[in-house]
Amino acid sequence: MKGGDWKGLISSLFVFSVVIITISPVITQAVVQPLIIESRLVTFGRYAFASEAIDSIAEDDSLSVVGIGSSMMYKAFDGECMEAFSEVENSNFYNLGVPASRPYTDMMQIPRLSNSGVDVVLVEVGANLLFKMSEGPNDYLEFRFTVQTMIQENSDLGPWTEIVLPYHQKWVYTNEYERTVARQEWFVESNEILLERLFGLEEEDDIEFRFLPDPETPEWIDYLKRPGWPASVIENDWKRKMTMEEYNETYLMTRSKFEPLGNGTQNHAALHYIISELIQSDIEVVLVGMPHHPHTYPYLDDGQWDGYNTTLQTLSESYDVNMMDFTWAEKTGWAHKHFSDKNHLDDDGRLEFCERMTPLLNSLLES
Amino acid sequence: MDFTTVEYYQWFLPCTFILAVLANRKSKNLRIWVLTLASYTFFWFASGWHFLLLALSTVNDWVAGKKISSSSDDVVRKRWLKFSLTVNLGLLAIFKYLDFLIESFNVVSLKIPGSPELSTLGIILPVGISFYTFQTMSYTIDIYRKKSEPYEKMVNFACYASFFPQLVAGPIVRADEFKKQIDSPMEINPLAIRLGLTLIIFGIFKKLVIGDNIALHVNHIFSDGIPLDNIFLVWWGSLCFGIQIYCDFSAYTDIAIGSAYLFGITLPENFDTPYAARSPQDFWRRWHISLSTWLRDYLYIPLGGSRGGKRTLVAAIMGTMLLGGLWHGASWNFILWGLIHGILLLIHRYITSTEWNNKIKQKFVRSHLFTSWLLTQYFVFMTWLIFRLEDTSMMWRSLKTFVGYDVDWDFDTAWDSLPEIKILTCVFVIMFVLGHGFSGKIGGFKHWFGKQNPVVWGLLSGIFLSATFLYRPAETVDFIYFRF
Repeated sequence: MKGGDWKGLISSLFVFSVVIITISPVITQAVVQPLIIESRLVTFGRYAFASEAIDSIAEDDSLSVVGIGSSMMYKAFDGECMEAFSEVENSNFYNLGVPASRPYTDMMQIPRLSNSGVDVVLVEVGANLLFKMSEGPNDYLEFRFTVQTMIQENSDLGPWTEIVLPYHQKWVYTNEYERTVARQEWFVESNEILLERLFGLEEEDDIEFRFLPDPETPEWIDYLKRPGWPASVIENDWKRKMTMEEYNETYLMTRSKFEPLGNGTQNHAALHYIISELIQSDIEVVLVGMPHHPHTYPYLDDGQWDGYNTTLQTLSESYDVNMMDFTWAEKTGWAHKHFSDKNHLDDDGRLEFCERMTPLLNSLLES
Repeated sequence: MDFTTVEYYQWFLPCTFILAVLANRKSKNLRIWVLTLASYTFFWFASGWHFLLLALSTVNDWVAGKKISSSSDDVVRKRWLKFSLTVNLGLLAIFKYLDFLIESFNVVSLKIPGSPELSTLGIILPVGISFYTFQTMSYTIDIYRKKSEPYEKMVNFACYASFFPQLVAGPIVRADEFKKQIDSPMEINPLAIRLGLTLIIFGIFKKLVIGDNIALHVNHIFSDGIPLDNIFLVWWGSLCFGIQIYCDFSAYTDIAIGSAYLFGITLPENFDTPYAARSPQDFWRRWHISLSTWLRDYLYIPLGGSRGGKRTLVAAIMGTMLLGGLWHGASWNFILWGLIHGILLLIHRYITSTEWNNKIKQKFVRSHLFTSWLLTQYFVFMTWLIFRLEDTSMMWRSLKTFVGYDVDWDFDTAWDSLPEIKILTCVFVIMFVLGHGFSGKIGGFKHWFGKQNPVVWGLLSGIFLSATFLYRPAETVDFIYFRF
């Protein structure tokens, strides 16, 4: 370049700007996202798999049913079983339940889900989900919001961002710059993992259900329908280490003290948003009250779960939705044998859930 | 604010550049005022009230320079020179060495019953004091030696003493070199701008990607209480520190030179692929060149240099290297570091003067070159341990391990002791080694890259800056030479 070549300098700066604007967002997305989904960067890839999963479901031209919710939905929904029981040809059933998820976090995936062309969405409504979200530090929420929003796009933003509490807003990345900066924090570690893989130094992990298949492989779709599940806690802990009474006293008494509220929480706002958004997109919504272990109920105080009943009633009166309420086990006939622990189903339970859900889904898909 | 903070690139450098360009249209003097005020602003952000010391040093040398120049009486001239040196060295003595002297006194007094123990003053080292005092001292010395003329205007001299790109960590610029440039009108040259940007981008990459990532290994190995008896671990720690300090310091220099280019000022190079050096003397011609030449001109030669006998030479070399070591910091390990480098220089002088060495050199040219390089770098990297480890017990242990005395040879132990990001760091080390060699072959990678056509330049610069963003560690490590 000659001393007075301003044109050359401007061209240089133009190329330079194009390169720096494009490289980092593309590379961080390409490197970090697969390793998160694969569970190499986080303990469980399901926490961040929704966007990729919905994109794959959107490519499916057949009739499709999706279940969203917490680990109760994740451990109850067996898409392959439902497919086998389905009387509707060419229908697929996908499980998008995420451990510890709640409407407040599920709402992040709604804009994409609404545009995915799915036909029916099962929305979990449970006594375990209807609590008040508080401002302030919360490791789980920080993790879910940051990990999911850093691999999303602008089109994933929507009215749900207004439901996010002011303190939690900083965990929601709302533009490509913020998302790229967030992904950069994982980039060095991602590179190390890829290099370990390249040199065959990657350590194997024997917790199989943790690992998600590569979205580019055929196993991915199978996984979305029928994810792996951890072994039954009852089998591992209860039957071997303690009596039923001990289990009830330690787990049901101490950990089943859900106190659902009837309205006014961020989770309620999120449920309203989720349902209305899906209905607006012509998607059939089924509200599912997930079953709890029958031994839970004797430990409940009078009226302890009234908030749940109120919520379900309000939602069913406000929207044109279907409902499957399995919560009250004594009325709906869920038994000890269906459970892996106090509120998660095991293989028998999944089969039961599948059998009970399919008739309604058949009718919805046929209509 | 320093060269790794966003504020420097986001507002300080662009604003100063625009103001300097606008001022330059009005008058040369206005541009100098702008640069001086910008430099003091920069220093204020870097060091707070310590800018007063810079101002004091500036006024002192400005007045002394004028007085020395205007007087033909040698006694008067010498008196003013002494005054100037006393003020400068006094500032250094108080702010840099006083607490060290008190601590050293206390160590000695512990051994003498009844001796008093003095409390240290907790003086905070003013940023850049070693650099700007050396710079301004050379100004008065050169005027005294009648090698140069004083600056005509005080603001020009203040601009020289405080010029922000090199104020905090050099390179140490000679007054004459700067004067010629500041006296000419500022030329906004697209080639200089591009070269400046190249150096800035290259410097940021070297510092944040290579230096700071490798620093994680160095800090882990030398600070986390890991036993330093594993030879691979100590070799790796020393190699990494050698790379870290080079990338850290040369990056600062690159950014300084690059920033100065934007204002039409060319600062001297400070490094010339030092790890390609084949002798201790060669190393000092390539490492921190502006300090080495300063020490040569204002210490080694006045002490007699190589013009006297052997004793003079030994005294000159050892005196220069000891003071050079002490210049780096008020600590015994820096003195020891200087001492060992002095001994290495003397040994090298002795070996090169022997008959047998010349015979081997002529007979086995390549082997001689390779062995010279290997031995030089072995000792250079060994001395980095002394430079890095202030804790005496850790330093001795690591030195013993480095030379293979009473060591553990288990590679797996060393590998397992490294921090989590291992392979990527190894990749950075390999990249550095290859880049260092390649850079030496083409006469400076950054200059080669600065001269490429616009598309190639844009691509390379974009890739380097993107890589900097992507690979920068979560926490930036302070520039090592800020401490000096």
